Amino acid sequence: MADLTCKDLCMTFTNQQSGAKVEALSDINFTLKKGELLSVLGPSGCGKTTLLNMIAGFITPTNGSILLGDRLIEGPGADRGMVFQQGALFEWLTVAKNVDFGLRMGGASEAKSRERVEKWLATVGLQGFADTPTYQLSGGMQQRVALARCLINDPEVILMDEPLGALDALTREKMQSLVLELWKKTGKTIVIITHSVEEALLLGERLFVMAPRPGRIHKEYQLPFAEWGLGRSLRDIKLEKEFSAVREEILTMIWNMEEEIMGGA
Amino acid sequence: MLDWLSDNRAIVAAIIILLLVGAFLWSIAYGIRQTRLREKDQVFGDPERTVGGWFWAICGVSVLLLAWFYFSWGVARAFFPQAANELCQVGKLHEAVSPVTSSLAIKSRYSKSKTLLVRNSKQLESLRARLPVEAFTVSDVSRVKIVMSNTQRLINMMATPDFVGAETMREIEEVNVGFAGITNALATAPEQWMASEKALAQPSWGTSEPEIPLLPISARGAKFDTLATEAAILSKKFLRIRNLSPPAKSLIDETKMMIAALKKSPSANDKDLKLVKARTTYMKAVDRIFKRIDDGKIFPASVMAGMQSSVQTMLYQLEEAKGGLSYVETLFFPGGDIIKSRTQCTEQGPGRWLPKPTDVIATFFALANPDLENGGGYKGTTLLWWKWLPVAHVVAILIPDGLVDLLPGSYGELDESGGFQPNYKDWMLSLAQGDVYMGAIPMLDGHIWDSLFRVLVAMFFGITLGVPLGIYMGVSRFCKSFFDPLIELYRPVPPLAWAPLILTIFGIQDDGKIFLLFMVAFAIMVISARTGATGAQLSKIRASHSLGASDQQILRYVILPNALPEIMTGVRISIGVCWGTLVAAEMLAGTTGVGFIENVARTVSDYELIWVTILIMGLLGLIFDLMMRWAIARYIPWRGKG
Repeated sequence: MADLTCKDLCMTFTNQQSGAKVEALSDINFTLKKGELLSVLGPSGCGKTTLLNMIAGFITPTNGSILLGDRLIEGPGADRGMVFQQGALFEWLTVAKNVDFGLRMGGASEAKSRERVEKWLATVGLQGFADTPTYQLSGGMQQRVALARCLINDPEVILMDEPLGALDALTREKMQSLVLELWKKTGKTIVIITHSVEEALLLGERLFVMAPRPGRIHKEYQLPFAEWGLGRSLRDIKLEKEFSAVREEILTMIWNMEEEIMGGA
Repeated sequence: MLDWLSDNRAIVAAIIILLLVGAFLWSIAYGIRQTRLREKDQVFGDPERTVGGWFWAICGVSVLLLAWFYFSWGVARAFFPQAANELCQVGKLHEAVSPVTSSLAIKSRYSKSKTLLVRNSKQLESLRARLPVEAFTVSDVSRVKIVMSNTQRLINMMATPDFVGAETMREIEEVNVGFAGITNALATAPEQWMASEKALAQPSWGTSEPEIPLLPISARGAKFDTLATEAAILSKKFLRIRNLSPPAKSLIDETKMMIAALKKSPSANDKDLKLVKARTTYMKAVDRIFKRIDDGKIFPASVMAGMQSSVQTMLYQLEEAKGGLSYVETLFFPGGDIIKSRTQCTEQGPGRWLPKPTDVIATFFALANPDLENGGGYKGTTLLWWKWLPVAHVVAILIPDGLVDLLPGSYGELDESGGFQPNYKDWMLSLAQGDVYMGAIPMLDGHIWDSLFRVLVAMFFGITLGVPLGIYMGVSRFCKSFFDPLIELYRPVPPLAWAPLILTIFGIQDDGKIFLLFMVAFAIMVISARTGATGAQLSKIRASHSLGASDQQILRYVILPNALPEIMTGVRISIGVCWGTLVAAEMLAGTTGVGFIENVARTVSDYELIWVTILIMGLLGLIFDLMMRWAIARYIPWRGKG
């Protein structure tokens, strides 16, 4: 396990036809220590998904570097697990086969990994669903499978791209608790992208508020709510004065950013 | 059993028809009830509205079969054999008067006289306008003109009542009176009458050709039959009547001589072959018109008015005399009239090309009978049966002869005493050529199997080659752009357009047809696999990268299964298209297969056989499709749920 370091990260997209250049990210610098829980928040178009895709290795930055420990990231790998907004499960496989996909690709036999699959399914609360086809699961359950599939690979960093965005409010809250629980249990470094301010506050030990044009880290917070959330009900935390104060501050900040974009456009 | 069925076809048909009517009514009642039950919770446009509904399928099938029974005219003659026989006698009467009706304005708009007059006058006029003056001498030109004006005069003369001779008038009147007599006879009720033994001994429905017995078997029929004989005599009389008055006769003789002279008459220009030819052609045209009218078959309208009305009255009376027969004819002979031709009575209309369902089934069983010695199968091949297939033949296909040449050593030589001792290489060659007996395995055989075999082999190669290529085209820019023009250029060409070329290259044996089908299946499989491969969600691909899968593993474990629904749809489509193409290809060439049977049946107008082959093709196509639908539902249940 190692720290995740982003150095002078820049990303410029060039339109293939017109040649127009869009600066998606510029000068991103941060270091994420092992076991830290980071949530990234920002208005749409601020480059938060681009940042995540670069860490995952799906796209290469035009400038700067990303280091995991002292290793330069040059492409996707099993050391950085990814959870997508809508599961991205393989619908032709059962729950168990989805979960042990990474292990099987690494050469492990299905029988051997079965025990670990059962363990992880129990951890995410899906005991007894091992042989269910994934297309029969609800959205929340699919996301639990996606979490288990990612965790069983024992990645150093877990990247989540709006993982709970498509879920209903109740399921979402349950899943937020689950994420916190898994964070504590596994001690993984987690990066969560979200567009919900409350979620970002609840699930962020550290929180980056990003600003657009060009995408950059506008403000950084260190928050206690994730720690609180390990022992308390999330709904209680949301009622705390401290929580609502930060929430209002951030909301105003994003609101102003949006105003600026609209005004500038 | 079969004999019993054959003898009691009418009853069997009746039972089937009743069952069909029952199924039809029941399915409608049941369907309406189901619709009422569901209409409350299914708004218009709800896709659930079209789910299920097998009862409407029963309704549709029974309507189809009832229509078939109805229009294939077995029903009427099965249940109204006497009506059919009587209608045959009516047909005889119609046939007998047909020479008269055809020269009157009864079934046509113009009478024959009017047609002749109008047409010939018009042709004379146009002929006169293009008289080749240079081809005739000056005197001949004036003579030709006289011939043509004579012809016109003759036409006009015949159409004038004043020139009709008294003898001709008397003959016409005689025919009129004759028809009036028939009209009267039709109006009176038939007398007591006993059918002759010969008539009763005629074969009944469906057991022989001609299917409608010719001799009358009822009193009413006998009356029609007798009157038909009388009418035939009258018609003969009518045909002998000539409208040739003495002035007309002399005009004809004079003109005839002039034409003959003109045909021979040498002209000053007869050295010029072109002019000679022009003259001959022109005179031939003049003579042709003249000969059309010199037999005195044009009558003045007023003279024929009496006959027109007497024949019309007779035909009207005939319709009256048919009585209840008319209803039977309209309702149960939907194909059209029963026509008496020279030797038999037949029903016109679909009866000619739409055989009875029972006959079609009988033909099918004859075809399906595997006993080739006793008339089973078709052209020396069974429809679908089995045979012992020597294993050696299979081996011979799998090992190419050329492979043996590559083995070390040489083939055996003739020895001194003139004998031949084969060495191991010779033995391998005979193995590769299928000459070593290695036992036999049971194998399907027959026309249907031959067709199926071609489709299955073509599908096998189409899938095994097309799917990998399609998948690679879906993931590689090089593969996509390199192969795209090749496939897209040959794919839109209808397979039958390729057929002549392919059959020339590969021969008319199986390989030509299989290659043709392979081309069809290959293109469809490539395109569907490509669509499936490009349709993979980016997040799924990224997820598998993050789970540590290699590119090859992603291809095998993510892109391929993700493309499977598209591939299965491709298989379903290409089986259908292959099947259609195959039948057409077999019609072009070959000695076995369902399409071959239909092709031969076509040349001999065997409609039962044509229908049997059509039904076999339809049913097999349906079975393929149902199997594919079942396989899709069974093996890719996640389809459309990703």
